[in-house]
Amino acid sequence: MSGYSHVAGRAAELLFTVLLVIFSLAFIWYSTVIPDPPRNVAVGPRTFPFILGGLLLACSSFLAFKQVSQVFSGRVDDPAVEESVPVEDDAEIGDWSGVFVTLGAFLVLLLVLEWLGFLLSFTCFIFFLSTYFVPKKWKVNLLVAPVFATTFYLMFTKLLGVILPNGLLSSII
Amino acid sequence: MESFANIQAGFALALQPMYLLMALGGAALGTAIGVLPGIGPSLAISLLLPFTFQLVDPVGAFIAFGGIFYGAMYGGSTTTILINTPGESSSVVTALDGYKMAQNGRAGAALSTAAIGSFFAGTVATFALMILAEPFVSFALSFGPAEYFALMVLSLCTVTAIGGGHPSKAAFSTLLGLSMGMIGLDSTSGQLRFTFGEASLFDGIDVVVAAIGLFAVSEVLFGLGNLRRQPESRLVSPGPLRMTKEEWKRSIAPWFRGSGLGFIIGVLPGAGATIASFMAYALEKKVSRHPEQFGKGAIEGVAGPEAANNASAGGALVPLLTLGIPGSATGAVMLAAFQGYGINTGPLLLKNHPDLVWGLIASLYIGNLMLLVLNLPLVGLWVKLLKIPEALLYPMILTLSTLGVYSLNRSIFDLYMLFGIGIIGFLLRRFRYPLAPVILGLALGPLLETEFRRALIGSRGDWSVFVGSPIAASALLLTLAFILVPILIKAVRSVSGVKPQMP
Repeated sequence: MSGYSHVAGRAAELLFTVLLVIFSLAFIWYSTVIPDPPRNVAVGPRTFPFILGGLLLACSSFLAFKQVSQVFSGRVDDPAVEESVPVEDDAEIGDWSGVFVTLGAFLVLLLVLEWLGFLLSFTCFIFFLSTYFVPKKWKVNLLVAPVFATTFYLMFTKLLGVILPNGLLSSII
Repeated sequence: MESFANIQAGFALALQPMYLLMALGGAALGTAIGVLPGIGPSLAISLLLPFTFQLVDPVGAFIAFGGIFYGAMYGGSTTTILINTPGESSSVVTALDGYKMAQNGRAGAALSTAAIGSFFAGTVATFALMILAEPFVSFALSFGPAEYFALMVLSLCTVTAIGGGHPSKAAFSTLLGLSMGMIGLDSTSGQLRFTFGEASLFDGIDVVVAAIGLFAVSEVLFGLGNLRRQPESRLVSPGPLRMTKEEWKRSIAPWFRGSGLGFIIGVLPGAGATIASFMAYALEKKVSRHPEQFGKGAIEGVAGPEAANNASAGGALVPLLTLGIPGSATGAVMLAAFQGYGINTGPLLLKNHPDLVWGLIASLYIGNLMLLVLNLPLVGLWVKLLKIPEALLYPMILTLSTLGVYSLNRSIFDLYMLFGIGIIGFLLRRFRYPLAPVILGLALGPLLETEFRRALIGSRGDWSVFVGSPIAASALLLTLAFILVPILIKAVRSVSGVKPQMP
């Protein structure tokens, strides 16, 4: 395994660290526009964010520099050696389309949640995702999705007394 | 001794039927979470918070959380030993010898030594917590803002240096969490910061929402993003849960060593169960008369690490309950839970809420016993959880996460924040930035700033207040050591051409 030795992987990580530097600069800038209170105080509301911004910039700049020097030298740090304890999980993705489909489905869920109602939207969500990844089992998914969605819905509404939008089923539930 | 009198009162509380049920529920849930890969105790507690806020009092809630915390350590070893897939990162090292033992027909012995070692270590750690609580609190009552600030800085630095991942990436994660903690209304000046005019951000980012986004959403994305490439796992049957006389003899000393080492490491912020188990494995290999057997099914390689990871869970509760400083993502979420119940943490927690603290400690003894019963005879039941198709499990986790976040404030904005933080968590994980420091930074950020400002206001702007007290100065010196020593060691190694060794 090594996504890091792959050119696209290294370019992606370099882009990510550049984004971190931009984020740090933006954080510092926003810290400077926080108004200080009119009276003279030892430490105002912008002091701590400013210090944090400086540290963020230093850290992200170091990471970006490290990435750039790796790209130019062709040397790749072995994460297994560099990390004090291995970061818990595998960082590789085998199916990027699966990631984007999941994100897209999740976003659509949030957009239609209140209009469609929790019960209907979660039933569709669970069925769609489970069938997308395992199309052969669509009949099982069709059975399981409404059962789970209803169980969760009842758990939150009846047990916890949380009011959830019913959307299109408002006249029925 | 006062601790023994207090623990008696704690048992009187913890043995009430309602709290026994909470302990059992927490232990069972913790075991299930430990068995299922990808879901850790911090995420489980985050998802459970909406339920506990509505249904139970703080004592019951924390008894359940304690059960989850310990239970996850027990459950993680089951899948590690039987299918070579660690349910928890703290069980990764157990796979080196545990799965080999299973392949050699000794799965039952591996499970037994893991469970009994976990019980022993959990009991020892709870006893140590019980003894240390009062002295720690007495010592901490003398702390002022400068001392608290310095200890929190030390805590965050330890997390960065040894909590996992590349130190500079861990540092960025910590700083990112601290900067997220700056969002919202500044309690001292009343000034709004980084809210961009959005009213929903006036109260800042909820630690629970961030924890669910970072851990649950990113885990689901990784899980579904790797679903089609996962190899079929080969489940080894547990078989009879018996150890031979020789296996008992070889397990006892590792249990003791693992318990001691795990507890001490657990007390250190950031140095959690994963580090404890790795160090215990290295120790057992070093002291063993047959180090060549390690990696081929040495029972010491299971007994020591499994004892260590459970003892570290008990150790991690020491700074949380006595100082109000969490040392891990799980501790940070528990801190958020305290705040959600309106309970102030710190040394006064023991004085103002003795029933909560002693009830929790007593229930850890009870929960530990429950876990031994749940994990050994019922191991076959837990293994069945692994038969839930991941294509269904992951959407269900997202469903529960969405419902849990929505039930906190009934806010759609919180859900969009969950989505956004989930993407951030996914990207951080993709590029090997650890996630736990982000949550720790978010939880500690506001506290850190408050103590920083209090110290400077008290000293009228004199920055030497941070080095004026011996405790603060020592903590800051240790912080500097944590930062500089690894850099110096690396520089010396690169000059002398020595490569670092893996344990």
